[in-house]
Amino acid sequence: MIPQLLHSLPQVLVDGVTLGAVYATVALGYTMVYGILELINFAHGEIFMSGAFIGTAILIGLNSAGWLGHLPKLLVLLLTLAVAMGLTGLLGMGIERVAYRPLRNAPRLIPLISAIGVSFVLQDVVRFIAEWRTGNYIVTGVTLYGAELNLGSLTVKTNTLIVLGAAVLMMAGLDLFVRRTRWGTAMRAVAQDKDTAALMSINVNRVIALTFFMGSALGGATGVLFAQQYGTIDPYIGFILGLKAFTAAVLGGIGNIRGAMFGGFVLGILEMFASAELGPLTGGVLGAEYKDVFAFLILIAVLLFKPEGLFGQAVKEKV
Amino acid sequence: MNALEVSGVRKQFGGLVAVDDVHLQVRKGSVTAVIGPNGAGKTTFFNLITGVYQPDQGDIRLEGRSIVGLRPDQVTMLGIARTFQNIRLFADLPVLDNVLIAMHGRLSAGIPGILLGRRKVRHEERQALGEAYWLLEYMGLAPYANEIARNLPYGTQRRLEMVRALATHPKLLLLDEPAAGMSPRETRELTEMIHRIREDFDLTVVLIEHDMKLVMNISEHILVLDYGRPIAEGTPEEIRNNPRVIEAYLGRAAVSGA
Amino acid sequence: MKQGMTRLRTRLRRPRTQAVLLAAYTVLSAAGLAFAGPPIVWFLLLLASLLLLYYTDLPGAVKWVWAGVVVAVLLPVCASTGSSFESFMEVATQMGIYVAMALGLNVVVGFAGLLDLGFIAFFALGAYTYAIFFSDQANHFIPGHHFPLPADLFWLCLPAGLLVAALFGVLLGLPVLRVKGDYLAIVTLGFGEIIRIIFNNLDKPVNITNGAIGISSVEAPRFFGVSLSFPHQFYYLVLALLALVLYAVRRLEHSRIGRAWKAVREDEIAAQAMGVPLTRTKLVAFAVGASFSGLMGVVFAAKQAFIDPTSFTMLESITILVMVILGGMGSLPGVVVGACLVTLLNIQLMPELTNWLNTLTTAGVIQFPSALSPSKMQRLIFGIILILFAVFRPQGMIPSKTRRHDPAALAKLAAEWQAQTGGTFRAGVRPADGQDATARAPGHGAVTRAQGQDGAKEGATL
Ligand SMILES: Nc1ncnc2c1ncn2[C@@H]1O[C@H](COP(=O)(O)OP(=O)(O)OP(=O)(O)O)[C@@H](O)[C@H]1O
Ligand SMILES: [Mg+2]
Repeated sequence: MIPQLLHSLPQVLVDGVTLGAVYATVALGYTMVYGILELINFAHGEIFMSGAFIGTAILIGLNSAGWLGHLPKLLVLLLTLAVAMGLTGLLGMGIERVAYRPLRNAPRLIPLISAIGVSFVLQDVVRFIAEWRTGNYIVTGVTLYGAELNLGSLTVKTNTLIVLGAAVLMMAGLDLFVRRTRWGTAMRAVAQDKDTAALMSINVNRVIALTFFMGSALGGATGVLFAQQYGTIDPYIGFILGLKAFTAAVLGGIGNIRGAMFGGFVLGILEMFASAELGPLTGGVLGAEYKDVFAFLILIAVLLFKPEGLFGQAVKEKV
Repeated sequence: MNALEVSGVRKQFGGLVAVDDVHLQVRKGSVTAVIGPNGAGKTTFFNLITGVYQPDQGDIRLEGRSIVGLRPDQVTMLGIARTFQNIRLFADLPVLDNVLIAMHGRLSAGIPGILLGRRKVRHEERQALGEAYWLLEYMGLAPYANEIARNLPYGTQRRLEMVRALATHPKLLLLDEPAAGMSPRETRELTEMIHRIREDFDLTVVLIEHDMKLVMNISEHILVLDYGRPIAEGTPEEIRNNPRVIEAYLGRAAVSGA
Repeated sequence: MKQGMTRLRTRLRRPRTQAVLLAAYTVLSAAGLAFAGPPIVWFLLLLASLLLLYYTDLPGAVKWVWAGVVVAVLLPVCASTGSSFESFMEVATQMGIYVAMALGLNVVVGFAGLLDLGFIAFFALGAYTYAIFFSDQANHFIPGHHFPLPADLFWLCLPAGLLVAALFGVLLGLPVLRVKGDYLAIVTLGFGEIIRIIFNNLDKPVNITNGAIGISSVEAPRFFGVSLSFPHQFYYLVLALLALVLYAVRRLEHSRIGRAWKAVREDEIAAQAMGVPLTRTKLVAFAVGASFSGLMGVVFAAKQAFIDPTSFTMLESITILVMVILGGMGSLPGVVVGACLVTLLNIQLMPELTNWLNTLTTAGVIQFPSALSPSKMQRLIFGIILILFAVFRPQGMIPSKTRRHDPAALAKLAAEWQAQTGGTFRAGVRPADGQDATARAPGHGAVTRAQGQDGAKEGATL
């Protein structure tokens, strides 16, 4: 058994890190919004999903217009990412404006309910458009980098490298932004204390809108990469993935940007490990179908034993 | 015997030591005041006593029994009630329910009894209603019994917090800035009220207050905190003349004015 | 003119007038349901009479009896004249099941303020409890051919389903209710999915749930020798259970426990400071809500005679949440109305609208893309309802009312209390017999004595 485990380990790691990159970048959106508003933005998973559909739509459009063969792949990818990020970023801002901002002083339950509402609306609108245009809401897109590298027992898609590269770039970029720029400082100030930040003449609403824009753009871009990596998408992919990305954010300490990245990778690797090895390890009793259960148990365990996450600070409500 | 004995408690939030090695002996039946500038750790001190926070060090004893490690509801059931600096009523519930909730721990109805409408449960409920209304009458809030708590005027809300605290049948009552936001007249009434409930209900009172006139009038014993540390303790007279207190907190004008 | 209006309004305020008008309306809509078409409209109008009933000033007992007569007699009898009697009863049964579940979720969300997004899991637990043991499914993992259990034991399975759901409510709640409020939403969301995944895969290593295929040929329940197979029979069963649920919820709401739920909802820290144990109170809410859901799950499985994991998706959980939000969190009439409306929308209005649009499309009248068909738009509609109500009307269609107490009655109770516990003073009034005010009056101390403390001291003072 052990040799077999070792044998498949490299593949598990590569797949796990790739999935982890997806979780990590989506987790950033949850963590940024939670850090600032203490709101679980349920719709964030759907923003990720919208990004996947926008990217796929662009590529299908370019393809059927016959341009895809003539343009350099990298340019197409960057273009697609840019458009998807812009649109999902605006979408996130719009959601904040319509569904969350009016509720900032409402009891905590209420914005959560409106968040679930937004999430449902997005699922159905995307489903409708996809089904209307393609006849089916399950869509298989155009893959730009489909080649596979075989390194012994290890198979790596070239797209995997793209996903990892892009994810690392985005995370590093965000980290720099938050730590080094004026807007990033403002963001951190608002996350600390909205009222005091407002007194320091920071435009709190604008900072919040920017946070939503950035978090959503990252989520949307990840959606594009996800569609590239896994090929087929449907309007409901955001739900479970969002749940897991949120788990990653909690694992890393909600509100903590670097923590969310770390949590994403940990969760991705654990999940891939579970889905590859759960069957062999339990003699076939539990299979890969329980990998979601596994992620969920991690969430509960973290909330129970280390609710502040691996890198978060324990906060106690001031009384 | 002392009603409350606090020895060497300390509480740290991250790098900030909010309460640092504080000792306090509260004589049964007395009124004690805890004073200090903003952020001195007074409310945190109350939160430690009531179990909202757990002290990092030190011991807290109620009538000789250590209450460290207990949950806030357990502390309440042992006989410590409190009011909050930033009023925390059950804002969307009627005044009467606010008081009834405070009797929760003393009532015993369980689900079977409630569903079957047992006599004992009905009796208990009538008693509770009676006592709740009686307490409201006592504090002059009876006319508001059916009112939603958030619609009460500010001063009345503060009084309702006191009723609610009394309804838990405390031995020790902790008041966190009871006079905050009150007019001088209301503050005078409050002074009287505190005296009255202490006598009528056989209470020991500890209060946090910034209104020096109230503090000096009402308390037998004063503890002064600054940056979490106790800097002075004694009778109003002693505190009034303590140079450290004057320097750290009161300022000359306030002292001579009081 | 104006005077006339005022007089009319005074008239309308009289319970007698209201009763007469409402009776006329009820009879009219019942007659419509019996003799005129289209039945669905009359059906709705008849149900609306219950809402009107709620707003009248009739005494509570009268309201209950009246409502009972309408739903137990008038509605089935009048509907029985039409050809679609059983399908009506089917719809009404579904409504009843959802109302009971919404009432359960209302305990959790509306009273205790805990957002549970996996509520359907408890329904699934109840349903599988019945389906596994009242079909031959249990033979797969329990040796000896004992199953299906005799259908007469159905009534025993009702409390069993209730208890199983309550038990799982507690098991989930124990770890989860200690975490901060908004995490609860996501954890329950996960839990709902997990239960579904587990039911979907528990056909191996031991076949307990028969996996994705589901469990079919579930026994029809028997009640005193009568086998329940027609929708109208289930209707009466659901009605009876619903009555129990309503009774229970009402009782609990205005009890020590219901007040503790609301206290926790309003302010956890203040609730604790008033002696309310947080986790325990939340657990009870969770278990009570879950138990209603489990109970109805049993009925659901018995009625369908077939269940599979697709009936228990997150969409179902959110559907019930929509019922509660739409009707009004914490408001019993609101939740009942919300559940009725959403159920009708789901199983009657949207399919009919879809059919109608399809007919038009096939007839070539309009071009209607099937992607837009209303029966697929649940999520959109629910989503919009949730957003609109959260933003503009969080208290729901029929906001919860607080119970008013008669001050005179309260004063009497207060006097009784004072007499019993030996209090001798009223607010502001000092003892009249010239005693020094500092000679402590035993009002409160007496209560303390009843608790067994301070007794000796108190006696000495007396
Ligand atoms: N839960 C908490 N987490 C972090 N810091 C806290 C917490 N509670 C209190 N503090 C800090 O501890 C210090 C003491 O606060 P505390 O509320 O006890 O002061 P206080 O004496 O009551 O002041 P005030 O007169 O303004 O009410 C403050 O600096 C406060 O910011
Ligand atoms: Mg304070």
